Amino acid sequence: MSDQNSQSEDALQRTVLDRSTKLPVLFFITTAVFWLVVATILGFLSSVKVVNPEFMGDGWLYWTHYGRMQPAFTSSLLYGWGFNAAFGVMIWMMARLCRVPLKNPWTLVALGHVWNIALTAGILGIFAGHGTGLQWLEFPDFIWPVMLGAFIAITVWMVVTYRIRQVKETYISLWYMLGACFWFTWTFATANIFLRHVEKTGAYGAAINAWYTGTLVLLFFVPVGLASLYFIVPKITGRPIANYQLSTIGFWGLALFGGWTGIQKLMAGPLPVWIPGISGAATILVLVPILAVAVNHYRTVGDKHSLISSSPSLRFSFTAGMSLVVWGIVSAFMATYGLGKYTQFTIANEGNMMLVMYLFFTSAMFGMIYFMVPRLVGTEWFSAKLIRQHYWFTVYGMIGIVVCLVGGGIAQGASIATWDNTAVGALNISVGYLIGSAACWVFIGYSNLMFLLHLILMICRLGRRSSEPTLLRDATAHA
Amino acid sequence: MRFPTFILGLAVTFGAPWYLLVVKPYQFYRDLEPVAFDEEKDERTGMYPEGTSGAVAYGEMIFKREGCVQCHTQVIRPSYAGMDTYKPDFGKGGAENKGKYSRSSLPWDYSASDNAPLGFVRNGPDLSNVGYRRPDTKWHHQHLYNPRSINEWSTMPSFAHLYETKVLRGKPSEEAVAVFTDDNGYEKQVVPTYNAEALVQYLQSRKLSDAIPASLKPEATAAAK
Ligand code: HEC
Repeated sequence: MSDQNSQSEDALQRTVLDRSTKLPVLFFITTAVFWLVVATILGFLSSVKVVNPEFMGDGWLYWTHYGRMQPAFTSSLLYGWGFNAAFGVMIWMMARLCRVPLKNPWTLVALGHVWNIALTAGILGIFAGHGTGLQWLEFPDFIWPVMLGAFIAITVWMVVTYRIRQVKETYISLWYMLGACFWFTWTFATANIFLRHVEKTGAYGAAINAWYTGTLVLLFFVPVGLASLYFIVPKITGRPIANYQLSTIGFWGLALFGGWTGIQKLMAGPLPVWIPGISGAATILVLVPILAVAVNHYRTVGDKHSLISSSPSLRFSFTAGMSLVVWGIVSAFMATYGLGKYTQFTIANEGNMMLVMYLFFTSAMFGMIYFMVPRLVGTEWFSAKLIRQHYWFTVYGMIGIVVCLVGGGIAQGASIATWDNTAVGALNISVGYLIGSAACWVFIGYSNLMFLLHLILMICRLGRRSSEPTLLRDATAHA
Repeated sequence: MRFPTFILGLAVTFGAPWYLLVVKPYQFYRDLEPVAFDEEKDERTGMYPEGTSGAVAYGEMIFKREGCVQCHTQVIRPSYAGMDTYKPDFGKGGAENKGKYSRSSLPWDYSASDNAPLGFVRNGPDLSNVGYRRPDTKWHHQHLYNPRSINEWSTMPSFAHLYETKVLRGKPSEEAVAVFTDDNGYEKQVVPTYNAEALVQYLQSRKLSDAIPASLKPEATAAAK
């Protein structure tokens, strides 16, 4: 009897928490998915333009050429989709896991506006020809302090919520989220100050830039993604995380090795050999925490496999977990001289980035969105068919893109590594793969557009009114 | 774990790579001094590298702004990482240089630049030595204005927006990339803007694999150790 009582009390408290976070979380999620659609369109255009520069390139549309389109695409994907989704998910999980209702929701929404307006100005700046040519930091110089300011303000809110938490346990997800905020602030400030405002970095600027790309992935997107996996897996399966020790190894392993990665992209460049060497070694060692997390999640799911096919959240999270392992292995190979000299300076790097940013991070965020939104708006997802479609288009489309880019990159690299081969040779080899990836973008674009519509339906409270969640399959039939 | 301990843990694990991979090496690159040629060994005098002109620095900015760096690298890797040093279209070009060795890049090659665009992807050829391969100003303007007028198969975008159309009086300018008669019967010519001129000067200055003092050669640094 008392057990039931405390359960309904729990449920009541969760409702209070969700009601308090509704406004900012829905704001960030919708903005994020909107940016995702933008990024998909830009990604498609840029993958066409790299093969056919005359596509939409004549006359007054000159500013959409590949040299500006590609940075606009990565910026909208990373800072538009990635960060907005991360904000939404982190705010919601923070309130839930600390059991602290959110105060001043409008402040967060305002900060979100600051971030997004700065971002939009930055992307327009790139198109207007004021990019910096720095990888993932292409925005004009005046943008970054604004973005960092908004980020830090959101971080302060996270830390305060954490400090006044009403639960005794510290969930591992909380560690990952606090870590992500800490690391991003540091690495973003460092990279921008050194690359924009410090003189004479010479060739080392490129190394600092490569370091930033490594740490941004491993110390921001990976922790946020893992925080959501650590939330979803026990929630859906109804079982506690299998092994506390593996969680700790997973977290501190990432903290220990993550900061050293990135510069292996410049192996054999004009740097002291030990620097890319140590970066490469760290990239290989990162497999240890990644595998620790994977084993931990695998054991948590245990014999509840059938839930993967029925629950949209768990299915996306499972895909994310698998992709992270694959990414870890691919990155480890690319960090060795043996394979790395063929993938260095090729489109394989773009493929590898899509592997972690899309198949891992984006899937993890989709899993969270499918879980959070019904609880925030009070209706269930409109159609299981749309979710199923979204899942398969995302997975097949993105596997297609990753295989085309990584495979094409290896072919391109092998061609560059032939001494008498000229630009035509390398180009002819990679063009087929690039066309393949452009075709896959169409699938991704379609599925993301449908996802946006589905989300808008939900926000307009046009979802299903039911106490049963929308499942992809009848769970009992397979259990 | 208490919160301050947690933050300390993060600060220590991240502070180490931050200091060792960012701050320390940066100081080394900042303090790189030009190296003098040795009259006896090198049979020439002067410093390596020499300074650059303002136009070249401005050209580098245009190079970054236009995103040339998305397709072009400026790194020649040593032979343990591929064939860069022997590739004809990465080196000095021309039939007489086919298969000849051009040395791999050194930190000094870039010290004239505030922040050198080494590049990420080679969708086009490496530009470290394009100054040797393409000395001709007119060729560059023609190529930037319409790459496919030179190589039909080229996937490089046209940078026609770096050129402007002017009324033609008398003979067309030396650097005009196109001359035509418009609808009203006026003769017009398309000429480079200052941006295009600076960009081409920058490209012509890309001679990274040029002669270096004997003291910088790998044999010498190996012997010193
Ligand atoms: C979409 C990728 C792409 C972009 C962006 C790009 N290029 Fe190219 N570039 C190529 C390709 C492919 C070639 C080889 C075919 C050719 O010569 O046109 C090339 C060739 C060149 C060459 C001739 C090299 C040689 O050895 O013959 C120069 C010089 C050059 N590019 C300069 C630039 C400059 C300057 C920019 C920026 C304003 C730029 N490129 C932007 C793809 C690109």
